[in-house]
Amino acid sequence: MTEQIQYGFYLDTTKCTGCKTCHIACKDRQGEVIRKDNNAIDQGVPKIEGVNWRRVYEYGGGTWSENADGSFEQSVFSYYASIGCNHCNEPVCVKACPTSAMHKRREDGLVHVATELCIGCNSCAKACPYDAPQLDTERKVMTKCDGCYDRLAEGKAPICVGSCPLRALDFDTMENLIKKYGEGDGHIAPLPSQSVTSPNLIIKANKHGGRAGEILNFAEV
Amino acid sequence: MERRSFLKASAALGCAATVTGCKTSSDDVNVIPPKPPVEEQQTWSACLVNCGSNCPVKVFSQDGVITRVEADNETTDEYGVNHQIRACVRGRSLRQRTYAPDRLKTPMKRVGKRGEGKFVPISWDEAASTIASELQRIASEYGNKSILKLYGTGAYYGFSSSSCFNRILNLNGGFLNIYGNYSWAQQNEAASATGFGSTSGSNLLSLKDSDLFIGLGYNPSEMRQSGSGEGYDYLKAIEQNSELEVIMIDPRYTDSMTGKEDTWYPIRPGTDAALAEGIAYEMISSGWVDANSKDFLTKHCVGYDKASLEALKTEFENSGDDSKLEYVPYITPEDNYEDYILGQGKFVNEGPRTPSWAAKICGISEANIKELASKIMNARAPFIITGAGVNRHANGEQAMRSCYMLSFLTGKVGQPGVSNGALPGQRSLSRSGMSGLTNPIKEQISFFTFPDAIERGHEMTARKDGIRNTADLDTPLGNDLKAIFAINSNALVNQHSDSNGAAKILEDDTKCELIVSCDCWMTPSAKFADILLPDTSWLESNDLVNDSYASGIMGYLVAMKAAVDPLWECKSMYDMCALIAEKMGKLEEYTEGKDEAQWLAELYEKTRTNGNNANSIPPLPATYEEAQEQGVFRAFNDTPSIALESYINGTSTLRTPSGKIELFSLSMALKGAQWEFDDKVKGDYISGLPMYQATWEGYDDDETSDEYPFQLVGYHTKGRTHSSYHNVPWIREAVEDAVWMNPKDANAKGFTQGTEVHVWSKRGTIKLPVRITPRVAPGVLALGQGAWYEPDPAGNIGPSGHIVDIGGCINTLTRYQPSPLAKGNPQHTNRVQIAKA
Repeated sequence: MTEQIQYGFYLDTTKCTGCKTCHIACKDRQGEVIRKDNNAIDQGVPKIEGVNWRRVYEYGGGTWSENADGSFEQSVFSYYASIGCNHCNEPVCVKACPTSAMHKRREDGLVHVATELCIGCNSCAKACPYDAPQLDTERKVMTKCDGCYDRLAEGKAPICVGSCPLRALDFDTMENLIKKYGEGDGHIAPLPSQSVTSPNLIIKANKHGGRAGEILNFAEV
Repeated sequence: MERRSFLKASAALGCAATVTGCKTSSDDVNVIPPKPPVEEQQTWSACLVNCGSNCPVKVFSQDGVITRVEADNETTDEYGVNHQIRACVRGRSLRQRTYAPDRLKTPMKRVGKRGEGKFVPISWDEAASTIASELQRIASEYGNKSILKLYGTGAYYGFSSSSCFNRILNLNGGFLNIYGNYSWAQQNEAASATGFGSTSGSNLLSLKDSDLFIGLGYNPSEMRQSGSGEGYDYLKAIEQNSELEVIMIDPRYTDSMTGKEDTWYPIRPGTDAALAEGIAYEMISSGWVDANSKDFLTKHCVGYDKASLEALKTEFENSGDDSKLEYVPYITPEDNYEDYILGQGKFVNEGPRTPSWAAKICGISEANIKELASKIMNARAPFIITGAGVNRHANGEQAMRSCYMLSFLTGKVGQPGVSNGALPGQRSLSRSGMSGLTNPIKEQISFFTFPDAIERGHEMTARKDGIRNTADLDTPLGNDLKAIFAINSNALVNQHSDSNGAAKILEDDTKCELIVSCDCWMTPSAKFADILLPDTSWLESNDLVNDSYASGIMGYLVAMKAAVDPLWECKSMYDMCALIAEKMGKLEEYTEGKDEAQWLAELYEKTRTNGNNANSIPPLPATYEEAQEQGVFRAFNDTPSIALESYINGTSTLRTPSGKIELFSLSMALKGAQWEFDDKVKGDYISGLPMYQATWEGYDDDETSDEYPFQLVGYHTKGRTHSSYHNVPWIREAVEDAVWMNPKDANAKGFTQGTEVHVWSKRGTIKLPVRITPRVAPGVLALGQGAWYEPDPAGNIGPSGHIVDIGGCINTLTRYQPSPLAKGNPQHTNRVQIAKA
């Protein structure tokens, strides 16, 4: 068996400022994919609230104390992680799917949803530690980052990559990404251990990576 | 995000390796769709809000409908050569903004009470006739000084800009001018009083020669988000200088930190001057200034010590020059910086400005202030930037000046890698824009004081209200405001201080008799219009723009081409003002005989031949139409610029009265002595020396601290540019509007993440969720400014006694109290209380 193509992402958490441009650039394309029949002039452009193929997690922590004179001491830190789908080698979403709607493509390793098979049970979303499957409650089907396969076919990068004002994102075959960036620094919080799903995501770690904290922006993701 | 899923996923591990074989790609959904029958078109437009950059956007449309928006990905993206000008989150949401349900689709006139938001559609003919006849009536009845074009920055067009309104107002005999702006009012005055030609210092390219960077309230990663902008320059400068130590001082742990910082020192809002003085004390009392920078201070500055002011006074007394003699009575040598900081001479009763004194006020410990001072003294090339957040306070003028002092105390300003404390320098390409014609009216009011001008413009003077260009200090302006043109402006109520108070003044249509608003959306300010004019959006416009005013080092031009025809009955500002001019009988003077295409060709030709654009990549083609096809033109000048270099290292003089850097400002001393202030307003005074100025509702204001224990500071949220883009649901979901609160304070109040709270001041109450985060100092609340003011339609009254603003606009809480010198907006100086809603 010849080696198959596997696409993946690169994220530099020293550059990411949590600006959300990737999130919105993705949503603009996403709307054209899953709300194709929308009439913008009469209806506006759909909100598609809660269906976010790319999300930006704000992670941070640290403690505060006060000196006798009212001045502060603190050890606060924060950084961001922009995540779409890592098109994992061991995609737990696929395993969790009762109808085989969620599947990993042989030709490029992208994990896709076959909408006509999806019963909207949300099992994949519950299984995925990255929140990649995003249930479209209006149509009652699962949706997710499709790796911009249509753009790949035209030789373009996924929409999020070219949108990034800080050049924190990249996308390519894993072979090429490893050539360019190496294996990276290993995953840092809030991402789970890579051993869980074998994600195709190379991380350059923020200098605060490894410190204990929590996700600070649940309302946004 | 559901963390529980992590454990579940772990349990599922063992068999996951088999899944690659379980499915093929034969599903229809994955097949690349066939080429659409109607060909997709691509045109260039730009995002024209007031963030400092006008990013290009690539607009795709099909069959007259915009289908998606992409960024400038046209070059090989080499930083400093041809890097791409990638639009941020805002520009990428333009499709939703363009088709927003609250787009203004036809001209309308008010039918209910002013501010109620009740309108009926009218024809363009009626709208233009009404405005033309009202303009003529108000000018003849009250005089042209009773007509104001309000400050507004919602659409930075070059051709079809708000200057079109200047044209009709000037063709009607002129209008009252404004000076200053909501961003930089106090720092404009501080920079000019100190001797800077502008608010710009060294540019970020010179950071390569620095070993210490200190940002006071400086936050380019949130303020300047463009992918070619200052935020990107800042990131690259830090990446490229491994020797650089980065220290950030801010009430919030901002996104300009997030790993880029070496140290964050949280500071209480409005206390920057106290910190600066604590540092200055260390530098002076240790003998370091005498040993290292005294020569610089003597040669290039005045006001450091008594001797410098005595010498200046003698020089001015003997000058025989009236413009200098005027200052002599106000040069008081005992008011020198050294004595003030050390608490000696005249200042012996105030005591020295020690780090221990400063720590109690600013919240940065004595040890840390000493550490900061030591780093500044030991740095080879200290690069200090004071952000504009410091200026937007009741004491903003002096706070900026106090921070500027630190750079001069080092004696290194003018050297590579050193700045003067001001904002970083920028570079631009140049575009020619529409002329607003000449305004025969010379009088100016501060942009901020329009509510006063409505109520008592007739009696406002230079001495009391900072009116400019009247005959003398006591000649009144002479007119109340009777007409306001709010063009792409949400400053009528939303972006102005005390939204409830402003609304009340505007509601009375016997005071200001005419309000015309031109916008694309039904903003809170648009609701106060008598006549509403629907503008075309950028994506429906042909125009020529440059990179704007704070877009970093990369300069650019965008030749915008309409992606679709004007939507609904919208008209460009050029076209709508032509209709008004026609009704005024001034069409020929307005158009100068040119149509849109001719104007654009002419403005383009002037732009094309401007020497500043000579290095554009690609070169500007012969015609505007060709430029539109290309879309984006860029140029990066990689020479570092160094603040005050030509003054320090050359022979030029500065535009201060002394011609030198003024630690003691003569112009401020003079105004401080001559102007009239309100002794009931704590901190309402001007001094020649920069001194920490305790003010109303400041950290140390014990008159308000019991009832309103928290300081509230605004910030620029990534999810809006000021109030622009607030009505875009995608961004509202991606960037939460919530008030930031330290976990310690939240625990004491019993709040949990997302608790709905009331925040209130003396001026109003807002309702919104709380964001509990360690990223804000204890005792401080932080709120992204620009959310849209929305008094609860159910009329619920909040703890302040006002109808609750459920829109969460910070200006429902801010105070309308013009600052002492600039008469500017003190919108970060607020004391508030907070409780569960």
